[in-house]
Amino acid sequence: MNRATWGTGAVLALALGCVPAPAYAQVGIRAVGVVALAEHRVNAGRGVEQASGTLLGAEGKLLIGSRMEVFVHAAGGQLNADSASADDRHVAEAEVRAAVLTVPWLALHAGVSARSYTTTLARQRWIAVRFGGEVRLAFVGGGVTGILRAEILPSVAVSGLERPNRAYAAGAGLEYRFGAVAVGVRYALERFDFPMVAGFARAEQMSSLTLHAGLELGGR
Amino acid sequence: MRRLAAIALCLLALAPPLAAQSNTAEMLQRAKGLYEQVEVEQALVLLRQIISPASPYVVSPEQRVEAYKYLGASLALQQGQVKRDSAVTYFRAALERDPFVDLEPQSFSPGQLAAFAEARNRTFAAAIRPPRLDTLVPGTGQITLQALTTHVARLRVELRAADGASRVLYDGENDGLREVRWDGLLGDGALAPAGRMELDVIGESRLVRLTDTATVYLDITRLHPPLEDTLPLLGTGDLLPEQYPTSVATGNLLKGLGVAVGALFIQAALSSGDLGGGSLLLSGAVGGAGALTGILSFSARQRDRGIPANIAENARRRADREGRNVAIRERNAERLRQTRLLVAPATGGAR
Repeated sequence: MNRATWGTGAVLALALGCVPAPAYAQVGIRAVGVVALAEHRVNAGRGVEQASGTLLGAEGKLLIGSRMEVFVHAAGGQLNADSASADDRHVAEAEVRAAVLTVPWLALHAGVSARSYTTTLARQRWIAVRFGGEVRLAFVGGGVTGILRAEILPSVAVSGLERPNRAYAAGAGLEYRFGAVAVGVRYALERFDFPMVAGFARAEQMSSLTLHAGLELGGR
Repeated sequence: MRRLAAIALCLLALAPPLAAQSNTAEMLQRAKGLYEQVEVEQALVLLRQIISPASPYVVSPEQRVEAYKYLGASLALQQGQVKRDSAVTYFRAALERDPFVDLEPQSFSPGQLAAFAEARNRTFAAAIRPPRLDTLVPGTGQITLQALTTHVARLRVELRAADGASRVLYDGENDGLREVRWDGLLGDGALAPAGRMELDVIGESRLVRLTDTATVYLDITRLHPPLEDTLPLLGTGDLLPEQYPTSVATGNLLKGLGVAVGALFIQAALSSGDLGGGSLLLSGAVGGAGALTGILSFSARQRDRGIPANIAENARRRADREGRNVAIRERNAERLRQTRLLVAPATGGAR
């Protein structure tokens, strides 16, 4: 990771730390179940290995006052090999991040995520620090919000591998509110570019289409 | 010095009429004394001097009426038809100037009363006396007004407000003085408005073909605790907009398309080329959802621009204002129920 990436992350973390706690917080909570169609692609020098499958999980969001949020995510499932060189793998992932709404339509966040890929031969663990922002486009006159998200991952630790020299994530989605019921759909992509080792640069990418549905009580 | 001189001049200017009126009063007093001592001839001399156009003294209308009355009374004491006719003539002169003039039965003889009655029958006038300053509680209290016809007549006494509302206080046969009472209400039961009112009497003689009218004015003042102003109508600044601007529909469409473009951009531009890009199926699903949501939202906002929450809030504010106004009106009504009317004879001209 270069210094600029870390610097950007530090600024985001500082912004989060400087947010004053509300004098008396109005607390809300969201709990949703998620179903994700995930696709994992990796090129470790043997051509593009592709695997895809369905992940199931849950997400929760704690809304504190009008400006703070804490988000947690956990999902897991089986990715089946789509190419001859790929292996079936089990994926488990978790993420926690804290966000602050600098303005109602922009949330800046920082968090940590962990993921493991388990095959019959080995288990690979990923841990990443994430900084990013989320633009929330509230549709006027309805409970619909468009979301555009971008993140940098300045520190990614992968068991058995060098740290990637470039890692980022982005996403776009929609959330629909019907009273306390919240449903949504989002597309997300994570990309990791590893440094050249023995004349080859490993590349990895995880993309997903996630549907979620659940309840949101209280809060904003 | 100048001020003193001006005051002295004023006093000098005022002095002669005062003295003259005083002289007339003295003459009238002396004439009455002579009349009571049955020195009728001497009384007649003085009384004729008073009513004479050549009198050097100022004679007030009241003094003139009094002089005519005693002239008539003095002549009625004398023998002869001519004297009696003259007595009637003087009584008529008195009645024409003041229809309320009367002879007290205990102070005058039957002959004088008969001559006076004849004068009344031959003279027709309708009159009304200005009321005294008085207050009344509308509906329960009353003030008394005095109207008169000099002889048998149809009499109508009517009170009129400036806005045309009226109340007929009496309409019927009458002979002489009639007291009518007024409770402060108009014909429709409403409280008399503040301001000037007109009190009309119309007399239609039953003996001669004459009709006479008279009018006095009353100033009505409503006395009650101060009233509260009701809340004004809610202005645009007090209400929330109840419709979205037309740009909102376009904005929603652009937001939906923005999500769609964003999903496709991420898949196409941010994915790794070494890995064959991203899955168009995954990004396309969100892209389609974004575009569809934008279009549907655009269409919905075009059809219905109403903002239900604001409409409900405005309705609540209007209801709140109306509720407060109802309370104010009730308090004002209670204060108005305590209203007393101050009735005063009008000063100055009719408004």
